[in-house]
This record gives sequence, C-alpha cells and structure tokens, in this order.
Amino acid sequence: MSVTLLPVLPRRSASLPISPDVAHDRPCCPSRHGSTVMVVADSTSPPSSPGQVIRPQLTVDVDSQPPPYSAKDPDHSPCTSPPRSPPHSLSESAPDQDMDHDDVLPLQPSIPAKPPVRLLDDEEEHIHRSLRLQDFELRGTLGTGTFGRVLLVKYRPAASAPANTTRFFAMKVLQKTEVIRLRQVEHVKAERRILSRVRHPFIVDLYATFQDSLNIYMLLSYVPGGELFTHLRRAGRFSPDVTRFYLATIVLALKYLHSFNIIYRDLKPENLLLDNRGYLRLTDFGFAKVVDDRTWTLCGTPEYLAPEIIQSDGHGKPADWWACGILAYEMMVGHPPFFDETAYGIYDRILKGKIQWPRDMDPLSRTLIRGFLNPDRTQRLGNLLAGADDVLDHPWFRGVDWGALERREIRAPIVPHVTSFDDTRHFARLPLPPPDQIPGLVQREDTPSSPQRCFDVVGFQFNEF
Amino acid sequence: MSTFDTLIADLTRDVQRVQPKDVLQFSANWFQSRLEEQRTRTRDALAHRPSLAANLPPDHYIDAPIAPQPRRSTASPFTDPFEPRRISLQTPASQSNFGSLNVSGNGLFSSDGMPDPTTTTSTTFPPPSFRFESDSNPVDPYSVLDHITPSQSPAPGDYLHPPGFNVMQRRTSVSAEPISVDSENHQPLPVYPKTEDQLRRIKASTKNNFLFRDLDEEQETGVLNAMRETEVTAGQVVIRQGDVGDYFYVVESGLLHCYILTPQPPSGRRPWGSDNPPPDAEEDHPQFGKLVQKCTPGASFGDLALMYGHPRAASVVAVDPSTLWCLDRITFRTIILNAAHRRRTMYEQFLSTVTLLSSLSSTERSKIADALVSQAYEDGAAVVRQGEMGDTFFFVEEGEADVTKTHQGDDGETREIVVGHLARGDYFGELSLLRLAPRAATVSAIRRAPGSNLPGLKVAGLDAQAFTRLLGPLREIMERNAGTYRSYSNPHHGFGH
Repeated sequence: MSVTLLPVLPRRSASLPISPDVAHDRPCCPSRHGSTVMVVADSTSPPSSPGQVIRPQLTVDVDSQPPPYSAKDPDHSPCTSPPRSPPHSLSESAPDQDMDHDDVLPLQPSIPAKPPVRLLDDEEEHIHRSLRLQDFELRGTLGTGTFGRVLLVKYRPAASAPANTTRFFAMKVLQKTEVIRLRQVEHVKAERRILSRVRHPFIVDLYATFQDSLNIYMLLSYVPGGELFTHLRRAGRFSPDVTRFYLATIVLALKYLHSFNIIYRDLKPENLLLDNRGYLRLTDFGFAKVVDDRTWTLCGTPEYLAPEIIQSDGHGKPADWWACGILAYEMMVGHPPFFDETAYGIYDRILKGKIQWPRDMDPLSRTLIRGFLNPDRTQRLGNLLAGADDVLDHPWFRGVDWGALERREIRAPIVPHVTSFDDTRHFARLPLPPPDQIPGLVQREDTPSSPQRCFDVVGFQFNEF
Repeated sequence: MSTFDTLIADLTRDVQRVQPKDVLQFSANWFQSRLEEQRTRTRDALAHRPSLAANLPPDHYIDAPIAPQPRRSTASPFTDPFEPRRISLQTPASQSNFGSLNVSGNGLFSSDGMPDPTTTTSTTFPPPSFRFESDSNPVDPYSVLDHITPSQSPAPGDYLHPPGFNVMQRRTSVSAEPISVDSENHQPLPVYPKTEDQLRRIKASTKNNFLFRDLDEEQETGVLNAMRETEVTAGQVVIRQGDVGDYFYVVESGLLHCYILTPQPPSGRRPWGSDNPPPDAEEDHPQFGKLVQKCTPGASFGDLALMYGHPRAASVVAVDPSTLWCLDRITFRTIILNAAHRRRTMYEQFLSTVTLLSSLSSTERSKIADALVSQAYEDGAAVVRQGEMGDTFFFVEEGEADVTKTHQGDDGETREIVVGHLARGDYFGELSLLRLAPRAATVSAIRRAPGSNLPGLKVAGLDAQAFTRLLGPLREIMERNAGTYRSYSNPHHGFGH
C-alpha cells in the first residue's frame, strides 16, 4: 500500500523552495534550540479571538494576519460578547436574507421572531478591497473540489512590507460555469457574505474576494496543518481525550455561528483544518446560511446528513448538532456510524438509526453521541432549552476550560510540524492548474468578465465579488 | 499544586467521566498509562534533541513537592508572562484539561520532520510529517476501557465490521437545487391518471424505498399522480452511468438490463441487491460493462436522483420495448416540500391561536411545532377521558370531535352529556401544559354518518415534557408577559381539564 507514496517523498524538499526571508518572518521564534524549531506559536502568544489587538512585537500567527494591515480591528467585539447593538428588522437590513428563496414565513406573528443573539449585518465586513488578484503569485495547489480548487498563493508586495506580515494564503477558486451549472450561485454568495463578517479563532478568515472572466476567487487564511481528516485516518481513531479537544473547539465554533442564526451544514473532518498550533479551523462555508427558522434545500455530505434533511422535513440548527454527533463517533471509532458502499445504503441506515458501538467505548461517550444522534429534534442535545450551553455542560466535557480553549491557551494534541510559512507537507501534492484556467491570477486580465472570451458563455458577474 | 494533587485531580476527573465499574483496575491502568506517556515523552525529547537535556522542563523528571507552597496564581497564562516557554515539547499532561491526549501519531513526539516510510500504511494520504508512534507508544488509548465495560460487550459477531476501503476516502458534498416552498404561487402539480391496478403496482414497488416509506397521505397521492408514463424502444439507453440523474423510474412492463462498468473488479456488495443470480458474462454489454440486474415489471431504478443530481451508478438499457413510470426530482421535491411546509405552517398557525401561548415568539412556536405528534382516531375513540390525568395538549388537525361530560342526574344515574363540538383548528387540554390535572371532559371522535366524506379525526398532540424540554416551564414564559397570565380567566375552550 505504501508503494505509491514513495515517489512523493523526495519531492518534498524540492517542491516549494523556502524563501530565504522566511526566517525573518518569525522574529520571536526562539533560536536557542537550534534551527529546526517548529513554527509554532508558544503558549504565551496572544489568542486570536476577535477582540484581541495583536501586539506587533509578538509572534504572528501564520494564518490569521491580513497582509497589508498588521492589526485586527480593535473595536471588534470578542466572540463571546453579548449583543452589542439593538436588534432591528432582518428584512430591512438584509435584502438577500432569503437566499434559497425557500424560507418564506407566511405567518404574521403577533410577536416578532426572536432575533438571533447577534445579527450578522452588525458585524463589520473585514474585506480588504484594495487588494488585487495580480498581487498574488501562484505557489501550489492545496486541493481540488467539486467545482473548483484551492491554491497556495504568495502576496507579492509583502517583500517590502514589515517582516511580521503574513504572505501566504489559500486562494479558493470556483469556476463560474460550474457554480451556475450546479445551481450553487446563492450558496456562493452566502459563503462570501458570512465568511466576510464572522470572525472566530476556530473559523478560517476570509480576506478578499475577486473574479475574472472564468472564476471567482476567495482569499483565505492558509492553514498549514492539513485536514483533520488526514490526521484522523492516519491515527485510525482518537482517544476520548483527543476527541474532546477537537469536539470542544467545534462546539464553540457552532455556538458562535448559531448565535448569528448561521447554520453550517457541512461538518466533517475534511472541512476541519489544523492551524500551526494544532487548533481546528472550520473551512468551506459553501452551505452555510443565515436561517432564522428552517430551510429546505438538501445539502451536506451523505454520511453527515441528519434524518430531517434526508426526509425533506425542513432543517435548521439541530442538523449541525446531529453532524457533531457523527463527527464525535467518527473521531472515536475511526469511521462514521452510518456507512455503506452506496449513498442509498447510507441514507437507509441513517433513517433506521441503529448505532453499533465498539465494546470498548465508555458509557459517557455513548451518552453524548446518543444525545446528538437523536432522530427526534425535540430531544436532540444542542436543541433543547439551553441550546449550545447544554452541550458545554454535558458531563462528557466535564473539566474543559472553555475560556482557555477559546483563547487557545491549551496545548493541542497534534501540533503539525511545519518548517516554513508555505510548507504544504500536510496537503496532497497536486499539479498546478493550467494558466488559461486562472487568467486573472497569472496574467493581467483587467476587465473581469470581458464578453469576448468564448468561455464566459453566461457573462455572469458576481456583483458581490 | 503538587504533582500528587494534580494527578489525583486528573484521576478524579477521568473516573467521573468514564464511571468505571472496576475502579481499582481503572486506576491501576490509568497510572500505568500516565507513567508510560511521561517516560516516552522524556525519552523522545532527549533522543531527538540531546541539547535539550539541560533545558528539559523540570516536570519531565522532577515532581513538584507535595507540601503545598505559597505560589502565584496560575489561573491564566497571561498573569505570568515570564513562564519558561515550552515551544516544541509537550507540556505536562496535567496542564491540559482534556486529559492525557495519548494519541498515536502525536506530532509533538516528532522533531526531525522526516516521515518514516515504514509506518506509512495508506496509498491515499500524503506522507506523514511526523513519525507514527504505534511502536514507541504502546499505550492503546482504549486498553484501559477493556476492563471497564465487559458486561456491555456484545457478542463477537455484533462488533463492528471493519469498514470497507471507500469509507476511509474523502467524501464530497452534495447539494440539491433550491426549491421554492412558497405555498402561495406554486403551479398546479402534474396529474397523470392511472388505473387502480397501476397505482397498486407502483405503490408495491416503492413501498420499501426510504424516499417513499414515510410520506404522508397527501404527499403519497401527489407523487403517485405525478408519475408519467413513458415508452422506450428496444435498445434505448434509459440512464447512463456517470450522468447526473434527474429521473426515477418504475418498470410497468417490458424488460431492461442494468450494467455497471467498473475499472477494477468491484469490492464488496453490488449496489443492486444480492438476490439475483450472478450475471452471465456473455450478457455483458460491450460499452456499459457487467450485467448486474434484469429489471422486470415492478422494479425501480434511479431513486437517488429524487434527492439531488446524483451521478448514475449504472446504465440501464431496454432489451424489449418497455413502459416506464418516471418522476423527476423537481416535481418530487416540490410535492414533498410543499406538503411538509404546509403542515408546518398549519401547526404554527394553530399554535398562534392559543391564548395561553400568545407570549411565545414565532421562533419558539416553530420550535414546539416540531414536537407536535399527529395521530388519527377511529370514529368514537376517545382522545382524552374525563378524570384521567393529562399532560398533553391537542389540536384538531382534521375531522371533528365531541366533548362530553358525565353528568349525574336527579335519579342518581350517570349520563354522558355532549357539552361541545370541536372542528379543525380547535384545541383542548392546553392547561395541562401548566399543571398536571385530571381532564374535565371526554373528547372523542364523532361517529360519521355512512357515506359522509368528512375525514376521520386526526389530532396533533404536544406534551408538557416536550414543551418544558424545549422552552422551559410555560409558567415562567408567561411571567415574562405577566398580563397575559392574569387575563387568561375566560378561555375560549373552558374544558381544558
């Protein structure tokens, strides 16, 4: 089985040359232990929770620093803060609220819907509009997906910028024709709208968006540790303690998203990246949506779909908690609870709901997973009276210091070994895309969506991008 | 805290988490695993970085004294910014409130950064950047648990089968197209008339399919009506493997063959069931591959196309001229979603008419609408009986019901006296959400006259536990809006109990 891997190994050192100035990028990395020190922020580095102003003399997190600006918005409220502005009508402020056109609430209630704890529109959009696509240099391919790919890019002007600015980013490239053919336009718009406003230590940051005649581009943090999926498959399964660490971060991220009435809808180890300190970053918000009550569009990943999604019964936040249970099981057992060779078989098993337990799984872990995997939403953990706080208070999480976790003060179980800011060892080696497929990134394509390009049959302009 | 105190605190926490039956054995294993973990860590640290020996954090080999010393608070790392850094060494497990984190493959154990090819076990994953510690870290994180739950061990055959290879691969996301469920302006749904026999046959061939199994009456009728008859000629390709599917088919008459083209021999089960004879190699299709199934009347294929644009898993070719019933995803999902949406809207509207629940926000109403359980009653059957303790509140969804009270006449005889009549949208028993009390009256389905086209009684019930579970005690919600509670003196339906 290892045969096909071997040719990959020698390429590691040659594939992405480490620029000589990388060492200057981490002035705070101690050198007393020699030159092989990992690029790992130490335990006293500042947490990247939104309210924190990063002091410039400290180590910069590889993946949380926008390029031309060295500090985050100091006025930004911390992720655990109470609502900071009076609620106002969602429909007034958010014309694109009904993104799927399927959430029409015909009732005219005497008491208006309880607003979410926070409104997404109150959050400042942290998008850098001054950046241009040409500012980035293609350095590698990090992954490919259904209608696009993720590239590693380097910010060119960074060479003259202060040494502590990050210069490597992940660029998500979505082919417009595929987005339209697969009818994902609304999803892509929602992804931009949500990612440009949320800010949380366990959620990937979006810095800018672009488009050219063929693609739309999203500039995201480069999270160098690879997918949790890779680490989980390599380890086989995680102990309850390791699972607890990762699941706890996911619970906090979901609690944060749900406080905006954002449902995530695609939780799975493939969408969880390990940052340089081993903390998870939730990525791929292609299905995330602001949903005040429920939504009806079937989407997600077969193994992680909640019964109410499969049965088209309308779904909302509880579907995320269901997926949380699937994730907990998959981490502790090594595979998801409902699996089959065919998608049909997976759905059949999810609806039958029979969970097989490894005999060595402890009772409390079973209780937790059963709590999430309750087919009845009105009994599902996370959807009850106290919402996410019921999860935080679950005995399985007893002893977890949630504040310290959110401030990233706890040692992570796996700290990925990374030697440079553009180290891609934790990602599959993939060829670079042909230059004609990413015209705006490799050439100077001034007018996006120029009609003479024969590929751009739809001439579709994403106004938001 | 001394090392001893920390250890005891950690052990206490883990014991509370795991709740072992054999505490002594658990503790023995726990200490053994902690010891191995710590020694491994020390050994690793020294082996990989001999220069560190001088700088090794003391807790790797020196215990903190047992006698507690006055010391600075360690509540937050920020309170002590000059604490010695532990850059690449694992901090003591006791500092993690997640436990010992004894996972194999822990990146902290590595520092050379070179993968060890001998431990690479998969062809699909990138090379590990850290050593896989399976040999040097012999602590199986589950080993301690083996001794704890022997009584819960199922029979050996019940243990999880090792999953097939494909469960280990990366999974792609799926998504259907958005469908408008706005019940106001939907176009009339297609209706293709069918005979009783045809309907029965279609029902029989779809009854075990999860997409049809749980449909309510309205959804089922809509779906059956929408199935369109289509003729295919001999040799016609109905679906092609790999194409994105939009239609589901039921075979009415004729014969079709189903082929699967696999680049490699398929592993595991065939997707078309195992009750067919092994395919005859001579019958394989030169273009579409192996014959896996012969579709005769009553067979169906392409069901996943009703969920989302799923790539076809096989090709189906008509052998004889055949008649098929077909149904496309948009129509199917429109029917299903409209019915589901309509039912929810109805429930939410019902709930919004209840005076007692007027202080709920629409979000809260929507949440408890999920907890409404619908049930049909035969004519004459009682939903609640006078004097019984009740904790459930009911709506009439469909049909009609009589409210009766036992009345003791002057002659001492007891008689059932009809005191009310309930129709669609009426509710009863709402006070049982506030307190457990005996029912004040009996509510039963009316006896319909023969030939009446009035539907039978169907009620939706909400029990107090579900309400409290989701929203907390109703009394507290009403106190939010205290006026409502006091003014609730003259309920619309006074026979709540």
